[in-house]
Amino acid sequence: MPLLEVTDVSKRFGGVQALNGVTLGIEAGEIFGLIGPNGAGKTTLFNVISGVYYPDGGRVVLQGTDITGLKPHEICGRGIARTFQLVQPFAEMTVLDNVGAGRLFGREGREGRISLRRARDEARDLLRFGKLEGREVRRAATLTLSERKRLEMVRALATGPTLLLLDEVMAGLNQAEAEEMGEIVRALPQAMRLTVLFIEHNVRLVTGLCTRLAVLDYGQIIAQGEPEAVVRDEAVIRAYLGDRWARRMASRA
Amino acid sequence: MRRWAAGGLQGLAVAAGAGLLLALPQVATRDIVTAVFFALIFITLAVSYDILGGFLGYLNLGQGAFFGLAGYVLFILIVKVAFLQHLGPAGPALAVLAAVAFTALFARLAAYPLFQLRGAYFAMATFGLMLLLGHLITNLGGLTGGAYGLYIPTELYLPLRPAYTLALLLTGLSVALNALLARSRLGMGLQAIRQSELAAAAIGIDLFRYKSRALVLSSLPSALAGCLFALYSGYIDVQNMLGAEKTLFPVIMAMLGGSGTVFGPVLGGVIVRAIDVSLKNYLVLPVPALGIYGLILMCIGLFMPQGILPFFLRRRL
Amino acid sequence: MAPPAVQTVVELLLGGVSLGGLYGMMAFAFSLALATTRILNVAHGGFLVLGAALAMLFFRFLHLHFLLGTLLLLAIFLLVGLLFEGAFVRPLMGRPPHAVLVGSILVTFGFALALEAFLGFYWADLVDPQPSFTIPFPAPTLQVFGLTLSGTRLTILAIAMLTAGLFHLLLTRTKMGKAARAMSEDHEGALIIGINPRRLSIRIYLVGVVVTAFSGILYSTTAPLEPYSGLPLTMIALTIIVIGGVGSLPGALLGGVLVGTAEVLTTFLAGGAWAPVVYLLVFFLVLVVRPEGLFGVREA
Repeated sequence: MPLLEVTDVSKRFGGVQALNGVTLGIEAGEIFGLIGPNGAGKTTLFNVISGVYYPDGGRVVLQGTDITGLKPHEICGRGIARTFQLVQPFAEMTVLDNVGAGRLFGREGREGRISLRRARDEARDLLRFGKLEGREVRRAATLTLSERKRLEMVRALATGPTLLLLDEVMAGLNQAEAEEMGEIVRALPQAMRLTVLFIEHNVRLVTGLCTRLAVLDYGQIIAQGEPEAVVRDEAVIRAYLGDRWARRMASRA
Repeated sequence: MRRWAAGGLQGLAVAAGAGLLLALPQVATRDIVTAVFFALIFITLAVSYDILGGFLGYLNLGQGAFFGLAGYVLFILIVKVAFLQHLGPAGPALAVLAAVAFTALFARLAAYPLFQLRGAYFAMATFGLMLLLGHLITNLGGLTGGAYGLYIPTELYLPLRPAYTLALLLTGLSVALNALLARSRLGMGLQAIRQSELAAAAIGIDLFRYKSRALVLSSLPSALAGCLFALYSGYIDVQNMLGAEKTLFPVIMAMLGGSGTVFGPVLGGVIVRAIDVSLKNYLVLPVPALGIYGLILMCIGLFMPQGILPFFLRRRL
Repeated sequence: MAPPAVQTVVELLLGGVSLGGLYGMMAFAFSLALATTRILNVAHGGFLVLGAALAMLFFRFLHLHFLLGTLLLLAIFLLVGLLFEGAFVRPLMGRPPHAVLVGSILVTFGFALALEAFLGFYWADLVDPQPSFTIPFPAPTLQVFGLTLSGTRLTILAIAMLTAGLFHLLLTRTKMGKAARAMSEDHEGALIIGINPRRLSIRIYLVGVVVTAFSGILYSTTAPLEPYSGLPLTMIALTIIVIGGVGSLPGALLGGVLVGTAEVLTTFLAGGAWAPVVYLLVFFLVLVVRPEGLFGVREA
């Protein structure tokens, strides 16, 4: 049985069909990549899984339990944590308290099971994992983008998830920073015993990192499977990596 | 080391201030004690306002609703429930408990419509809540005395000395509540919500539950302040319990002193009361007081959105 | 002659709908400014009061000629819009979202209170010890199928419908209207495609203040306005927005008619003192039962 099953999920905003019958199965322990052009519905899918949006149709099932339509804090309590495309650190809190808050309110800290002091202690270990040692007493707003992205990931980890949703954690980072982030993500399943579902733009980084890959376009999954196979898939190259990607690259340059 | 010294200094200053205020009725004239009593009432309102305004970042323009509602429930109980008047001092005490409990329940129920809203919409809705209470009280004359207000028997009036001591105690407790909140799980949750609701929900914070708790908590000191004020005055009407200044002062005080700090609202309260007393007693200006407060509010919004205390704290760093 | 009961019902409906049209006009001006600038103007209701007060001053006390007075009023309202936007809205626009929120509430709430206090104080001091702004407007009554219809209310209704039509044209046919719609649907997107938020905001406030102040004058032809009517009127505008949706013209009109009719019926059945209770209850009830608004999506 897959860890997470997304079945036939649809979501419409006004006249725009953001998701159109999306079905995905994610196995425990894998790093699953999700790619697709801007506006393809990747973040919308994350928002449906994490309870920010209620889908118009379809179901989200985690470890055999239907979690469709639960509120975000309830989803967190079931063991799904996430980061945001536009980073959302608690800007005025210290780095330590950001992660401490994850411990305190997350799945393992619910109902006051973890004291404030213990939450901060455990936060230190997690900060080391996210290569943020030495930043504990800084206000989150003063960190660099790369540090804020890692902080947000560590804060998500602090809640004690079984599934981690990462939304473009490498976007906006330079080559070295992106590779550092890639190493951390690669280590996640072993070190934290969890499953990763992540959205990324940089195809080269994705294919090197994930065990399986799916491509979302206009709210529909157009291909999924082994990364090498998906990237070579004719439909994907033509519909996405070919024309569109080429044009996007040209327009950026 | 510096931090420890600063903490000790702060503690010393608080202890000295409290001692001075406790001794005040022995040394000061009745007028001064009365003025400080009113100041304490308003400071309590400002400090409890800041649980929402400062910690959660939700502007409550209807803090006075809790003040006024508690005062009215208290007086209605005393006037309409006959046996309370035969219990001696226990009667009003029981009525105060009931009034505060009723106000807390009201706050909990008000959370349902209010927290459908955020930002400016929320602020305006809290103002609407205050308007609604005012109209209901005016219209339900049989219960509330309508435009005539309500009196309690003179023997139940709270004399100045005990009223002052109770107000001092209440203000102290209210400040202590905020100081505790700043170090607590609930306080941390509220601050997280203020800084990003999206992220707060994603790390497992039940937004509605935390916001409602903050609202109920902030209603308690305000309700007690309303009871104290009403018992001291012996007479209440819509103007003195739910008038514009009950809504205005907490916001101005907290904002001026520094919203989100434990002592900011206290500092702001002292400043605003000083301005108010001088406006009403010493300076005879050809301008209405309410207009001046409106202008102060505008100036804070335009030039000093963080308030006085954070302004200086940040400079020191 | 129609039976008295029918006459009463028709009178109430006409009263409700014309008041509703008036509410819809001023609520849409409020709504449009909110949708495009993201600043909730608590002082909005104050513009109605200001309009009524100035009109009363010009026509009843200074006996200005109708045309001259109207032109003078228009010029003053445009100036008020320009100054208000420049002094209070613009300085807030560059700040981060939370600062915009806190700043806008403090500034516009402060302005509303100051306006209320100064207007009441000086009017009582200089003009009339009992500040209450009314403007006589004796339009002839109309007889239709034996029913007597108030000419004043019919005129108000006609003007409200005309204004709604003009608003519709403004939104759909002009560059400014298209920019305003783009801005309210997708704030960031509109900025990216090069819409100038400052120029738009000035224009929105110019139109908004003029429409609102003139609806204040119309209001005062049927019921008196007082210096402290401003904040409750803003609350009415907010109620209408909660019902009809931010930035929606049909929503504002339908919400306006709903609130206006409720007010007139409540006044008839239970007395004027209960009218504000009813719209405030509607406001909180809609929030609990249908937080997304009765007709559409509300953004909060």
